[in-house]
Amino acid sequence: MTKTPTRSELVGRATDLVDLIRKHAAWQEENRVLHEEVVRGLLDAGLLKLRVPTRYGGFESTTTTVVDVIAELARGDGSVGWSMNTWSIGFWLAGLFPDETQDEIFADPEVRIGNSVSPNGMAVPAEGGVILNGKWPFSTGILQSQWFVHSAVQAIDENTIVPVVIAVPAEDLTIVDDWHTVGLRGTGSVTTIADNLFVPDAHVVQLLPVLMENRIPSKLNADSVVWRAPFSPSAAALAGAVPLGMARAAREAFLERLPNRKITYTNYEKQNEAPLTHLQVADATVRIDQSAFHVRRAAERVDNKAAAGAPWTMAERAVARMDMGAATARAKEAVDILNNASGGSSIYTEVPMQRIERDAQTVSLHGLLHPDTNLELYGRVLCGLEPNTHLI
Amino acid sequence: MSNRAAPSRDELVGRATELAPLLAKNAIWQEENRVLHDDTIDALTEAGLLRLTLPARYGGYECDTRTLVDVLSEIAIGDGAASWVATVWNISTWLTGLFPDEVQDEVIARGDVRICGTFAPHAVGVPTEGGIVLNGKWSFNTGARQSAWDAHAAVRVVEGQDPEPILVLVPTEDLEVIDDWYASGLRGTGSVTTVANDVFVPDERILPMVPVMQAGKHNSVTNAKSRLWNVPFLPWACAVTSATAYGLSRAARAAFLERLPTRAITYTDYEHQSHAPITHVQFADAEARIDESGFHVHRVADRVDAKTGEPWSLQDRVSARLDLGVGVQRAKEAVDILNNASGASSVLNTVPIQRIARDSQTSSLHAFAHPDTNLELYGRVLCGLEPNTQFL
Repeated sequence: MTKTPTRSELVGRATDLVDLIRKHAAWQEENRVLHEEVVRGLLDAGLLKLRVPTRYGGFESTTTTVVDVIAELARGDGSVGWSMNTWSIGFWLAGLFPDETQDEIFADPEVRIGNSVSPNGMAVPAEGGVILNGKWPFSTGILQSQWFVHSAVQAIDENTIVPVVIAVPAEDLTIVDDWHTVGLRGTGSVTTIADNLFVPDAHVVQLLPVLMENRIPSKLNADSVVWRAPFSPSAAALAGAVPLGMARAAREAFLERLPNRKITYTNYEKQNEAPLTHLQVADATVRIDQSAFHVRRAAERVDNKAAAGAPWTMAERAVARMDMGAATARAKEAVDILNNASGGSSIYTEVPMQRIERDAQTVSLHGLLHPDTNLELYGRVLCGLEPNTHLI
Repeated sequence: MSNRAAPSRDELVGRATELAPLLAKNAIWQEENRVLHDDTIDALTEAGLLRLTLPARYGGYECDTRTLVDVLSEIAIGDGAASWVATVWNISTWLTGLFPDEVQDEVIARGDVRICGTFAPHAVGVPTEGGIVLNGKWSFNTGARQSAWDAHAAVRVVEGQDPEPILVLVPTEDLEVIDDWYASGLRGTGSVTTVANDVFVPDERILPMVPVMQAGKHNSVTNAKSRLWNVPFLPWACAVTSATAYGLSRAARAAFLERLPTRAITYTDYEHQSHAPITHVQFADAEARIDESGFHVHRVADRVDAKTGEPWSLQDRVSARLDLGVGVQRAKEAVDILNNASGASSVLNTVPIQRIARDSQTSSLHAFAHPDTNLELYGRVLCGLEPNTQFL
């Protein structure tokens, strides 16, 4: 039994990886996948154990811990932060499955598990399991994972389909390398296809009891505070940390270049003496602080309620989604302000700011993180309407 | 150490909550008469909400900063003008607590004294036998006509020396009142101009401000032992003066929510405003900004409470100004969004949101609180420049 590292220890390990991650960020963009040294670094630092059950050597870390680690990795490179986020959620989803299934998945102590939330597959019952067909774009991490938890719908009878998550070995999926994108290029988020894939029943979990009642098939994880937390608010807290980390990276990148910059075609010989720059830097900083406020609030809410075993109201679930959307919005606003203040010289590929900006734009277009979608959802619930998604 | 005889924070906030209907009822009269209604003052007094910074030996509560901002913002849910006057009275009472104990005995006498004040040094004192002769003019003297004493900033001028910033305590009856308070917002505050014409101020009612501002040294022996008078004045004032704007944004939320169920969107097919996705986005966007305003207000208040006795770096001090500015900014943005979503019917004087919007605009133009000024100041220091103000 390994001793569980403290939160500050784990966050410190993420901080220690930042230099290595930054060294490989350009390579990762070019090759559209994480560098092996980065994956190795995450493994050796134990950061892929945060959401692994303790009986498999994992840490079952609090949400606030995972969030701080993700933000720190995203400060190194947004693609690493995003990969860490999806893997963390993948581990969590794997922990829902029957305990025997988990024994199989977690047998490899260095297992990585990806996940998708779009129900882009159809599972049809067959003897002892289901036949799965589907096609999932945005399969982050599949190229460097051993398992994948895909979202799908299962036909119960002729008239009823229910949402499910299905754990499949990565090698059973066909990969279409279509990950040619403007941002988060290093995540290798290619398309995966399941073609008449047989999946045993023990690898299929119905989602609605999990989402709405926190009823999970795993017996051994049922009492863990990590799996007592509901899926959507947990995932919302984690995902919001990615844009937050990017915004911090933008601020750092900006302040690093600032002392050597002037404002071209103006009389300002030093950019740091321009009142406009002061406004921009301050405005960006407060938005980063606000992004962190939303992320922290969402994470603490998950941890506190899980610790107390308290139920979640619909309003609280909606606030969790709002916190993710607002964290994303404020982070992206900060990045945009700083990018806009970085001058023509910042468009060179070797200058991190332009990549951070593309990554921030890309993450904010994610269907779950999109600020407008989250604001609308939260506003609907505030106005007394039903939510317009079950991912809440 | 907190004052054991004082009511708890929850108790005091609860008393402010209970005042909301009365404050809201008097708000229109107060706008018309440009001063607080006597019933408002009586209610604030009876609820103990003007004793928050009164020394315990006079029956005061010596509240921590968090309690102050929570109570003052709660008062603003009823009426912004009442909140702002209560803010000024509580701050000026604190300033009075810096004077020698005998002066406090004279000024405070019985606990229910009201002391107003301004912090712009718009008067000159010339030394004379036993004191100074004071001449000057202070605009924006909130609550002056309902206060027995004024705590005013001034400079003492001795020939051949730099003007010395001082604070003076003057009976209001010694000052001439010019009723110029015809304003677009916070009309109920009665923030008239007061004039000193050759007013004699004895030495004991003169407090040199440099030792107070730079070293936290003041002339009260008794209060030197109290936690409340060991906070740095301006960071503390940043927290306290941010509460009204934050409270106004919560007032706007309450006002919007109250009207929402009965509103349509005129000249459109929406029979219920609450069904419109635009409304959902507006409401959620405002809500996120209100929460962010609260984050800033509480961050600066909590920092003051946590640091009592510890040194304040320049960075800490400009952060306090930033929290004030952005607390006000996000609150005003929220009010503007909700005001904009309230329809033409909301321009009637009987509909609170139009008053809230005017009060919010007025409070955000305050020179100490103005978002742009505070962002620029914070950005300057972040960029390595000196601050461009002594009000830190």
